[in-house]
Amino acid sequence: MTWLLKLYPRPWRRRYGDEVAAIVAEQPFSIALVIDLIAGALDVWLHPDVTMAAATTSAAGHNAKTTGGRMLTQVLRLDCAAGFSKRELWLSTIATIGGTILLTLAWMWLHLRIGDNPYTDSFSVLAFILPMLLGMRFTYLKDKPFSVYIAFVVTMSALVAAVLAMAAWISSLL
Amino acid sequence: MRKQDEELDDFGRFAEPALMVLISLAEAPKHGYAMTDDIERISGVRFGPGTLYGAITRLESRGLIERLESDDRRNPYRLTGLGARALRARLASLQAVARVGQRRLASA
Repeated sequence: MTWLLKLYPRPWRRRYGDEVAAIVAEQPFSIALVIDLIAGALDVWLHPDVTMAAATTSAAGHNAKTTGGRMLTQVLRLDCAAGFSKRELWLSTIATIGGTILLTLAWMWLHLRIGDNPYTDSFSVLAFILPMLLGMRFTYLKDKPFSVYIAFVVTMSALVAAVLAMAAWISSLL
Repeated sequence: MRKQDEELDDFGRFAEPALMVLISLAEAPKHGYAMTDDIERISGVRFGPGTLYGAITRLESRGLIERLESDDRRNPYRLTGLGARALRARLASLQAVARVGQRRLASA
């Protein structure tokens, strides 16, 4: 299950990847573990200032030693993801809130048409998560290539959708 | 300046795991897996690696714990002086709250 660690940013994996992989390798597969790792990855992407401070410091230190600090600016810019402009924060907020309103309305319409259904009910969570991931285009993923951004959004959405579908399936059995 | 018993206040859902990590490291330096086992032994709760490292990264960025170099892929962590002071202050604060709770229960 260590493949789930690919969801974490590269500088974080460089710093903590081996340690977490060692823990994951010694645990049996469980849904709780999958959810914990996905939630952990989301936390790192959403709070790089507190979760990647040591990782970026060590990456910067490594670069300074090996290349005389040539890459320091790039590492801090790409990997710490700090220092967004006001405009970028606004765009991200508008994308997140606007998308959430639109998708919530779409979900409500679907709910009225279909009625109570564990699958449509569980997917209501995506109405917030999907716009939040899309909004990262203006913040944490602004410097990444478009293909990386799309791959990230699709992968994370698919993983969350899979977990939600599983939760809906379990609740339909109860 | 931040009061030492407030060091964990803005950790959100990681406040409890962070406190448990500090308590675990107060005994001796440990790597992540040993911390998980130790925390389960003392509290009955087993944190997943995502939660544990959410707490570890926050504590490390605040300078409350530090990583020790190791040849093993599992690096141990140890409590810093700042971390020990923050833990002492937080435990004293919890103890004061517990004393009030017990006093009120006794007189209820």
